[in-house]
Amino acid sequence: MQRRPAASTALKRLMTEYKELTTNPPDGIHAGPVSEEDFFTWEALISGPDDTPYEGGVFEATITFPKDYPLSPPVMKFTSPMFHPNVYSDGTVCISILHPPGDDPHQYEHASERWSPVQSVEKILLSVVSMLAEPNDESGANIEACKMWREDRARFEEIVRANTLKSLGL
Amino acid sequence: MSDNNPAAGSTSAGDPPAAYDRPTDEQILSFERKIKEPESQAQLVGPLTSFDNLIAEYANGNPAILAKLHALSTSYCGLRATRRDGNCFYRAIAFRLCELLASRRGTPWADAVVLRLGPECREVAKEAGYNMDLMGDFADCWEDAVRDGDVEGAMADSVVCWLRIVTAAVLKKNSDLFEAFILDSYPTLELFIGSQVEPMNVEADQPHIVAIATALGVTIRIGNLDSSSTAEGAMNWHEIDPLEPLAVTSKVDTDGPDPVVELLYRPGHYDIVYKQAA
Repeated sequence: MQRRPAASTALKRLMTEYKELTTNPPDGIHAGPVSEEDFFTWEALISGPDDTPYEGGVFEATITFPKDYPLSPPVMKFTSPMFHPNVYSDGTVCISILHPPGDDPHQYEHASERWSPVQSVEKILLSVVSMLAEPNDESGANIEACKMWREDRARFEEIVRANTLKSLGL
Repeated sequence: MSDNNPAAGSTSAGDPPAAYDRPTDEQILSFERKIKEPESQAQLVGPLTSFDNLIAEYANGNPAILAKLHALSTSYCGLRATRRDGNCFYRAIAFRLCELLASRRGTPWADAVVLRLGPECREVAKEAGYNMDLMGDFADCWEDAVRDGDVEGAMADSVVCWLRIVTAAVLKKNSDLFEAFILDSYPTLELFIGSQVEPMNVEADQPHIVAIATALGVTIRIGNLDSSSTAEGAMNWHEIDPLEPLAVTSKVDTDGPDPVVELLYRPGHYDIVYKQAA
């Protein structure tokens, strides 16, 4: 009896998603596998949204997919400096769409958008762009950024702008 | 409190930066996995066994439940236990339906069900807005398992995933009907589907049962093993028919009644039950 191993389902799915992302790229987002040999590690470039201190920056991130993708979600990690309430200091992004229900380290809202196999790389990246524009300080990953975002917005934006320049190699 | 407890030392976002001792997501999740480990090694769908274990489990428990189990065992020969991973409902249905179709291969009922669970389900999913370029693989896994009578294949996570999508698609298609049941607890049907239907490992409830019966065109009977007292300790059965009945053509009397999928429900869990041969 023929049964496809999970990794080939994942590979096929990632190739389909990559093709769709290159034919129909959303504004300000580029993403694709780091190399032809490894479809399970992607690099993403995200333009900082307008009217935010991230504006003008281009932020690099890696996305690492599990072998049973899309049953399980990928992990996304910024490699450019990223000071944000929902990004750990090591760059790992922490938003509800990257967690299935039950995987609940931050006790997200009951009805927030969760990981499921109908999500996609594109939806994750669009959520990350929204996250940059609108931090969620209810489920903070970087406590310092959370506190500063709430209590000293000017200082927060100063740090972010400095990172934005660094992301451009300036 | 044990040192392993991730709750120990946890902190809220409002605490001063000095309180950096909150465990990482990864630590919390690995702790959770450790707790769930015994269950994650149970068989997805176990062998057919008698009710003896279940009766022993409740021997010193609630007398109403025990009476129901004894009543059940007079007309049912046994059950298959399913893994308690939140996917048990979908997995039980996939497994049992695959078995029933294999045993009735070529009958008008089986032909009608195969049409419904294959091309018709794909169409409903597509109409509901699911991207079939991304989801088609999961549908293939389910249809392959049914075609080959491959119950092992029917237990796969990819089949659970596809059945969740067709359940969601039926909910969307009949949103007027289902919103009445859902909007008490969720602001929108979309949010209900995104958090309670599409994600893996989330248990099924009444709306899911009606929707999947409709998607697959199969009647689902659920025996409720609860502690309510009933006349002569009889089990309460709930029979859920598809909203749109199956179009069975050229039905002949010798086929007998259409097969139904029968499950035993305890809070948060479904096992498959088997009737004694007549």
